[in-house]
Amino acid sequence: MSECSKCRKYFVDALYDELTPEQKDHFNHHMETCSSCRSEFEKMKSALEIMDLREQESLPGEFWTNFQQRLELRLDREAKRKNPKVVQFFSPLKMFRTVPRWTQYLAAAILLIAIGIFIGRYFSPESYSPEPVAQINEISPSLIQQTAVDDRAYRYLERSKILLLGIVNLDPEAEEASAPDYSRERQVARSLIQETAVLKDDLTDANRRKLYQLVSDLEVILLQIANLETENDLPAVEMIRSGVDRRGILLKINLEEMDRDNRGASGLIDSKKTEKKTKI
Amino acid sequence: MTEEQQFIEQLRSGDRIAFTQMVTTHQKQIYFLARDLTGNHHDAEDLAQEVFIKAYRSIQNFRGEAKLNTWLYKIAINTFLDKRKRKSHNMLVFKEDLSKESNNPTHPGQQAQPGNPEKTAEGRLIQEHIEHALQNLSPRERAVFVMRHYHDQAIKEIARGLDIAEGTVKSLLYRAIQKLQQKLAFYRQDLGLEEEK
Repeated sequence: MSECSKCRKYFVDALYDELTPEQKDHFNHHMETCSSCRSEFEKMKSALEIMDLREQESLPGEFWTNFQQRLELRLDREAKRKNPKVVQFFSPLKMFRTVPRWTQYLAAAILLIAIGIFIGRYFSPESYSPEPVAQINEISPSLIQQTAVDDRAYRYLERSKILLLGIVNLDPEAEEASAPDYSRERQVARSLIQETAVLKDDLTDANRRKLYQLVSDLEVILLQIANLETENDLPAVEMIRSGVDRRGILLKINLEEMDRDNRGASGLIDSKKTEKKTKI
Repeated sequence: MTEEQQFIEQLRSGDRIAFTQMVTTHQKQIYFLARDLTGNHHDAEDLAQEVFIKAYRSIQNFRGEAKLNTWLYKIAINTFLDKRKRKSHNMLVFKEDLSKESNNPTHPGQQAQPGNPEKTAEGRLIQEHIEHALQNLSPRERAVFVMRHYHDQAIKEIARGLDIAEGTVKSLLYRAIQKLQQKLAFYRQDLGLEEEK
C-alpha cells in the first residue's frame, strides 16, 4: 500500500480528531511532504466547515408538550390493543334472534319503511332543508379583500408556473449546443420576487398556510433563477430543476389551482341554489 | 446501584412516570436526529414517536450496557433504515407527499425571520443547498454522517450501535464527506474556504 493510500485511510479519524498519537505523527509527517494528500484533506475539511453552517430548526415549546401528549395517546392505544377488555353488556343481534319470528318480520318491515321515509325526505331533488336564504348582496369588506389577495396569489402562481415550465422543459442537449440566453427568465423571476414579499405579508391567515409555504418555496427557486448567469449556466439550471422536482412545486401549484377551481364550482352551486330558493 | 441503573430498573418495571421522564430528557436529541435523517419535519416527528414507542415495547431487552441515548439512537437509525428499505421497495409510493412540508427548513408554527428579506432568502438558499447535499447521500451514509457530525457520536459508538465494523463506518463517512464536498464545492470560494494558490 502506498504512503498516500495509508494516509487517506486516516482522513476520517483526522477530521474528527480521533487519531492515536502514533497515527497522528505518521499522518502529520506525510501531510508535510505530500501536497496532493494535503489538498484533498483540505477540501474535505472545508466541506465539513460548510456543513457546520447548517442551522438547527427551532421549535416552539408547545411542540414538545404536544409531542408528549400525542405519544401518550399512541401508547394508550397500544396498551388497549394489547389488553382488550371486551365486556358485552348488550348485544342487539343476540336479543333479536331470541324473539318470535313474527316480531322479527314486523321489525324488519318497520325498518324498511323508516329507511324509505329517510331517503325520500333527504335525498329527493325537490327537498330542501329550510335553511335561511343567503343574502347575496351583503358581502363583507374582508371577504372582498380576501378574494383580491386570492386573485393576486393565483395570478402570481400562474406566472411562476409558466416560468418554471419553460426551465424544466428545456432540452439539455439542445441547451448545450445552442448556449441559451436566460436574461428573459431572470427578468421575470426578479419581478416575481418583488411581488413575493408583498404577497407573503397578505397571506398570514392560518387557513392560507399552505399557500404561504408554497410562495416561500417558490421564492427560493425564483432567487436561483434570478441569479442565473445570462448565458449557458447549465449546472445552475440543473439545480433549479432538481429543486422544483424535489419540492413538487409544479404539482403543488396545480393542486392549489384545482383547489381554487373546486371552491369556485361549489360557490357557483351554492349561488344557484340560492337563486332557485329566491324564485320559489 | 447507580442512579442511571435505578432509573433503568424503573423503566423495565413498566413505570410510566419514568418513561415520561425519559421522553422529556431525550425527545430533543431524538427528534433532531430524526430531522437530520429524514430531512423534513413531519417524517421526523413520526420517526421520533416511533422510536419512543419501540423503546417502550422493548425496554425489557435493554440490558443497560450502553447508555440510554445510544440505545435510543440505535433504534432511531434502524427504524429509519428499515423504513427507507420498505419505501424503496414500493415503487408506487407518491414521490412527494404533499401533506408534508418536505425539505422545508421552517416549521409551520415558526414565524418568518425578520430582517433583510434578501439576506434571509440568501440564508435559506445556503440552508437549502446544505440540506440538498445531505439528502443526496445514501441512507446509510447519511445515518453515519449525522451521527458523527451533528450528534457527536464517536466512530466506535456508531459501529457498536449499528452492529457494523469500525472500518465500514469510516468508509461510509469518507464516501459521505467526498459526496458533500463535490456537491458544495462552489461554496468554498464564496465563503473564503478556498486555499490561496
